This record gives sequence, C-alpha cells and structure tokens, in this order.
Amino acid sequence: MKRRHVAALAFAFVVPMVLALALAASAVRDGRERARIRASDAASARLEAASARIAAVASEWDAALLHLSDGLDGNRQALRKLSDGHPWVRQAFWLDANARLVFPDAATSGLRETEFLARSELLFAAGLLPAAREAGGVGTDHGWSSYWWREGSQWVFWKAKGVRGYAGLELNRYVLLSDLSARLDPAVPRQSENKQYRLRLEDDRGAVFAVWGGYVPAEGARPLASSELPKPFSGWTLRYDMDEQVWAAEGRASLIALALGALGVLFAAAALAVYVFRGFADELKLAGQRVSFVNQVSHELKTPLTNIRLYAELLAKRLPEGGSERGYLDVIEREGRRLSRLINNVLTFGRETRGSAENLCLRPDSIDAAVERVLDAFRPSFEEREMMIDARLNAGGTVMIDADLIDQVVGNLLSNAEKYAASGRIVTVETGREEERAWVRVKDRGPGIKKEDRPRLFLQFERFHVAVTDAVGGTGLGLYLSRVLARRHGGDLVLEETETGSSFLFIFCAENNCEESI
Amino acid sequence: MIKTTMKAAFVAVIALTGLVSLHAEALRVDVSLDRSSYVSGAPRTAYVKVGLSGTAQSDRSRPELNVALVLDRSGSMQGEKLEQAREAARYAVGLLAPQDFLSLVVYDTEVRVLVPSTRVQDKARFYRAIDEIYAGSSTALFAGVSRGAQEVRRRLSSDRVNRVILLSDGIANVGPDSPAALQELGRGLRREGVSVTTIGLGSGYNEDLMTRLAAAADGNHAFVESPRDLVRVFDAEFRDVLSIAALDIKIEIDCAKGVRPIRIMNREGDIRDGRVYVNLNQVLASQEKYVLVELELPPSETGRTRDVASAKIAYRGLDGLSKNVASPVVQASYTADSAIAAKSVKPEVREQVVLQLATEANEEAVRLRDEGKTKDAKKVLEDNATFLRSEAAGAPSPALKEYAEKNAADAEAVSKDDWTAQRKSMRESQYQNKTQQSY
Repeated sequence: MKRRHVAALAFAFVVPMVLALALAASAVRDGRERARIRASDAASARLEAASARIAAVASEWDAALLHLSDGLDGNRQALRKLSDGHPWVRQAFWLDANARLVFPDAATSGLRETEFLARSELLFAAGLLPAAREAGGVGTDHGWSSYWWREGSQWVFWKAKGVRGYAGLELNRYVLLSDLSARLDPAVPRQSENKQYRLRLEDDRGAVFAVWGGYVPAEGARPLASSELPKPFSGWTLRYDMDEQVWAAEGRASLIALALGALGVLFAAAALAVYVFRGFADELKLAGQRVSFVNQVSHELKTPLTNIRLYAELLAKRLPEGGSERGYLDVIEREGRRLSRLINNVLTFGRETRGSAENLCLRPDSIDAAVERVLDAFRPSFEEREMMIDARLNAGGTVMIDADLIDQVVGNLLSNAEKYAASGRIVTVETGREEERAWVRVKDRGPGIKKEDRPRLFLQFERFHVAVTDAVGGTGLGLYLSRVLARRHGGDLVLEETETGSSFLFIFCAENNCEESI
Repeated sequence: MIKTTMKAAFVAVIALTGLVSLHAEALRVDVSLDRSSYVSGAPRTAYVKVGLSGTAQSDRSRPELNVALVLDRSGSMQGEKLEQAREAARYAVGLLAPQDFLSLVVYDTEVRVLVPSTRVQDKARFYRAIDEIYAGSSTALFAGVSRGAQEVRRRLSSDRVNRVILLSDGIANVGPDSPAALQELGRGLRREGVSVTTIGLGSGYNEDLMTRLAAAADGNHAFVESPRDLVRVFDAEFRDVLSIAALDIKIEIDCAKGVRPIRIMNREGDIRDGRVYVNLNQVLASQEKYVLVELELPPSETGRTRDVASAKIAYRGLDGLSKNVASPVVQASYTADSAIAAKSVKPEVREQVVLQLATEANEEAVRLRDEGKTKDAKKVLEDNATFLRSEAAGAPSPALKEYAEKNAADAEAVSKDDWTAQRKSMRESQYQNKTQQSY
C-alpha cells in the first residue's frame, strides 16, 4: 500500500468530514438565529396583543372622558362638581381660546384648586395643550397630555371647544391604572408558575406595573422583544423575555437532526473510504500477485524457450536451404524470438515495478552490428508481410553499449512497426552517432499516431489501434518499457513529428565512460 | 302682617317637617365650638366640630354588605401568618349573612380571584377556597386592591356597604408602590363609594402606604403584630361594618362672614370660598365620627355674639335614598374676661381638639425620627405626653390619659434602632384618633 494512496483515502474521508462539520457549525449558528427570530416574532405578536388590549382600555377611557367633557362649557359649577366628586378627576379646568387658564383662576381661595395651580404650572406655562393639538394634526380636537410632578407624570385629558377654548381634566392616574390593572388581569392569565417567559409592563419610571409569567432573566439581559405604548402611556414599555433554553429548544431539535445527518454522512464517507481502501488494497495485492506470477511464469518459460531456440537453430543448420522443413524451422525460430522478446518485456516490467532494475551490462560492441542483428531477426516476418526494411546504419565503430538493451528497444519498435504499420510497406531504420550520443530512428509509413493519443503513448498498458487491428496482440508494455530502458541507457525514446507514419527516435549514451551516467 | 304670619307658618311647617325627618332618620348631627366665649379685641383661634352618629335603628335590618377580602399571599406570609389569615377569613365568612356579597381575592405577583363576588349562600365554597390559599412570591398590592375593588364594583349599590378589606404583611413591589399612589387610588375609590380597610400584619409592611390608603378611602386601619390577633381584628372590622347607619356623607361647613377656616385637622377635604367640604363613606350607629376644623374668628367687641358656622349634611340612608340635614348656626360670644372665656370650654370638644393636636405632634415625631433626628422626636413625644397629662388633669379624660401614656411609651421606643413595630403602632393610633375608628 503506497503512502499516497493512504493519504488520498484519508483526504477522501477528511474533506467530507470537515465540510459536514463546517455545515453543521454554520447551521447551528443559523438555527440559533432563526430560532431567536422565530421566538422574537412570536414575542412581538404577544406584545402586540397585550399592547392592543391596553390601547383598547385607553380608547374606552377616551370615549368616557369625551362624554364627560361634552357636558362642560366653562361653567364653574359643572367644573367644580367634577373636581369634587368624579372618581377619575382630580381637577377640571378651563382654558380660553388663547390657551390661558381661566378656571380655576389664580385668585381662588380653594385648597385643592390652589394645590392644582401649583403643580400644573408647567402644563400651562409651556402651552402643552395647544402644542398637543397641533401635534395631533388637522382635525384633532381632543387628546392626552402629561406633565411631571413630584414622583410621577400626571395625566391630562383635553377637549377643544371651538372659540370658547379648551376643557381640561387632570386625572387621577392611579384610579385609571387600577382600572387597567383590574381589566388586564382576568383578560390575560398571569401564569407566574410558567418559568419559561416573562411579559412585563413598565411605567415611565421603569418600575414594574404588571408581570406575566415567572421567568427571571439575567440582570441587564436584552429582551427578546419590546414595544412602546400609545398615549397616555407615553414612556411605558412592554418587554418580553424568554428563557433562552426554551426558544433555543426548537432550533436545537433541528440541530440534533442536522447533527445526526452530518454524522450519518460522515459514517457513510468513512464506510465508503474503508470499502474503497480495502477494495483497492485487495486489487493492488492481487495485481502484485499477478505480476509476480507472470514474472515467475515468464522466468520459467525463458529457459525452455532458450533451449527450443538453440536446438531449432542447430537443426536449421543441418537442414538444406530452401526445403520446407527448413521453412518450418524458420517459423519456429521466429516465433521463438518473438516469444522471447515478450518474455523479456514482461520480466523487465516485473523488475521495474519491484524497483529491482538490472544494471546496464555495457560491453564494447558495434551499434550497427547490434541493430543489424535485430533487423536480421525481423526480416523473415517482414518479408512475409511484404514489408521492406530500409536500413541506413551509420553509427560506426565500437562503443560501450548494452547490446541486449538496444536489441530489446529496437525489437519493440520494429515489432510495433510490423504490427501497426504493415500498410506503409517500408520501414526505415537509421543509426548515427555524434560523439557520445548515439541514436536509432525507426520510421514507418503507416497510419501514424493520432494527436490525442500521443500524450499517453509511453504509458504502461496503453494500446491504440485496437479497433483497427483487432487481430493484433500486445501487452501495452513495449513503448513504456522501451522508454524506461532508453532512459536507463542515458538517453530517451521520443516520437518525432512527421508528415506521414510515425518516427521513433531512440537516443542513448554510447561512449567508453558513459557508464553510470544516468 | 298677613305676610309675616304666613312666613312664620311656612317656617314652622319647614321646621316641623325637618324635625320629623330628623327624628325618623339615621343621622344625628352635632355642630359645636370648643368653647362658647372668646376673649374680645383680637382675632381668636377657635375649633368647630361637626360630629355625626347614627341613631339606634333596632327596627331596621342591617345593610347588605358588599365586601372583597383581598389577602396577601406573598412568600413572607408562609406559616403561621397565612394560617391565621385563613382562620380570620373563615371567621369572616361565618359572620356574613346569605344576602351579603363576598369575593375572595389573593395576590402575590399575580392576582387571583378565588371566589368572584357572590352572595354568601354557599359558605362551604368559600371555606374550600380559603383552605387552598398557599404562599406565593412577590407583592402586587396595587393589582390586588384594584381587583378587589373591581369585584366590589360589580355589586356596587347605594344601599350596600361597599368595602375592600386588605390584609398584607409586605411591601408592595409590583405595580405602583408609593403611599402617594395608593392614597390617590383610595381617593378615587372613596368617590365611587368604595371604602378600603387595611390590616397590616407583622412588622414588614409599609404602614404609611396602608394608613394613607385607608384614610383616603375612608376605611379602617389596624396594625396586627401577632397573627393570633387577626381573628379578633376581623371580628371588630365586621362589627364595625355591620353597625353602619348612613353612607356617602357629604359635609359642608359654612363659615359665617368674617370667619376664616384655617385647616381641617383630622380628615381629607377641601376649603373653598369660606366653606369646608369633607366626605365620609359611612357613619356608624354606635360611634360618633367627627370633623374638626380650625377657624380664625375676627376680632370682636366685648358682649357681642356672632354667628360662626353651620353645617349641611347630605347622605344616603340604608334604604339607598338621599337625605339632607342642616344644623343650626353655632354662635360665639365675646368677653373681656379670659377666665370666663376659659371656663366656657366644652370638655368633650376640647378633648377632641387636644387629641388631634397631640396626634399632629405624634406625626411630627415620626417625621423627625424618619429624618434621623431621634432626640428631637423623643423631645416632641415627651412634651406631647406632658401636654396630654396636663389636659387630662383639667378635665378627667380616659382617652387623653391613655394617649399620654402611649406617647410616653413612644418616647421611650423612638430612640431604639429597631423601631419598625413602634412606628406601625404610632401610625395606627394616629389613624384611629383621626378617624374615630371603632376598634
């Protein structure tokens, strides 16, 4: 098992895991935020409902007070009667059209009226009522005002009475609040035993007026929702707090599902990775076993094949030329040679994959002679296919080469030409040498190699022309091994650009001291 | 001549009808000055008392009661207090007759109406509800009173005694909680004809809030130090309620020309254009309730007799009908001899004046003590005790004597660090002195 495979598999597991975790984390955030928004929406709805109930009570007050002020026309008796006896009224007063106080007048000897004048000074000095009327817009003829006195705001209801002025009622705020309290109570169950939420009505000093629900939020906690109230409750607030545990619970439920999902994905990815890993490992092991099996078999085949070829050769020498027996032997020898090349390729590949490549076996030899030997071996089969070898051997001299290696490479190239370029008839084999660099070019006039196939040409087990030449056998190792061998010999094997056919250039080191120069 | 005769006859008829009506009616009115003679020559301070009491009405059935019992069940009530409160509530249910209306309201943070206002025909229903009262948490006193008032309002009737009875041992902490706020609420309720009795239990409640609420709503107030006394207080409260003879009383005191009303000594009211207005929610058959007003008499020459004040009373009888009574004009004579003037003192009015003055001094002592001026407070109380004793010596008065001893005791206690119980007791006496509470 190679390290990079393990890494790839780990990667295949880690990436989805990280992704799933990141997704889950972002979903957690989103879920919380969504849950908060949902909860705060629900809270806002409850606040609105509560606010609407309070506004409804206030509008009833409005109607009752309008009715009360209808009976007023500036008559002192009527104003005093309200001030003396109406539960809601602390003091009734009257302003003229210029918003000047005409009743109670400053000259009053009345105890309560004097107190009223003292505390309401601000109300009239600031001209609050006409201002409130203007603020109310066109057509506003009544409304609420408030002013501050001692420990709290005082409420005033006013009604414009045309040219006669304004009727005003300073109200007993606490009687109204008591009415509100008594009516809110049965309308909205307090649920103080419910510790999950708290709805709180706070007055303009921030003091608690009423509480629903028994939840106690942390000091300074941000309310889930809050809302202001309409007049006369200026400055009052409704705030809604909820136990985070509760509003987050919903988010958490989807979160758990999500986490389970992510976990499921992780397990699936892990299982898949393990499955693939094991499958791959088995495959590799099997492939390794096959290679070693083929290797062993090839090795075992090599010895008898050598003997077969040796004896076939001996026999051929004893038989007269031209006889049919001699012809049979030539076939045996040719096929033996082919088989031997195949076996050599397989053995080379096996060594290659095991990483136990043989060292070069450099001996003084002639390149041309070595190539000529290969050509000789191929000639009979070429002739059979009506192919011609055009040999132009100019490498000359004796240099240090591994003749077996050159034999194998050139043999592979010729074998390819024989198999795939028979239609081109002529195969040109050139040799040459420039100082320590020698080369062999094998050029055919066959169909050539398609441009898109070229990048994969030297990869192992790659075979082209399969569709065209179904009958043609091959291992897909030839070019791959040839390049490997060429590189081992200090050179390379490349495909040259040609107009027709294909041309392979086999370059290699050919000098006395080019040994170990890789 | 004929004209005069006719006029006289007319007056006689009016007087006769007035007499008849007075005789048949529930209310007796007594308007008197603290003395009959004043020293001539300079403006003089005088006190006028308007006393109201019910006449015994043995032929009449008692009024229907319309009561809301509002019980504090905040956490601090846990234990004996709540047990005794339940016992007192049971006792109250036992006292009521089937035609009476009762509602049972409890509050802590929230208000619960355990039994909405209903006739006390099925007492077992109330007992069951009382048994289930348990202690909760906070003290939403304002909401509790509001809800109790709402229950009373549902049965509000001019021929019923409409009352909220509040029992609390704690300081309001939800809703309006200042004495001034509850006083305002009490004023509004009184105008609706609903009175509020406040019973403070233990030493944890706000006595200023409780007394001012009761004063504004013209109910009773009691400080019950030990839960064991609750039943006794409830008994007294219901006896008080059952002895009511007249309702919704509007007192108007007309001062004669030249006479200036200075202040109302013992009750809330208004003074306007030489008239004094005071409203009471009820007058008892058994006990006189009075209003004491300080007046400034103009300087007069010796030998002169001048009109000082008269009172007009409007009220409702237990039959729900409105009635009016007018008092004769009280007069003062002037003498140059201060001994004669001093001799003309009316002991029963003087006793009330002294009691109110002493009560004011007692209030002043509380104020000083609140400001941390313990020594000054002690001095005021000691002087008060001395003043009361000397007055009691002049004309034997158990009431003044008792209050003298109380002030002496207050003077002792006022310098202690923990004077909460003492303060409550002082507020209670002040309240009872001012309102002539029956218990």
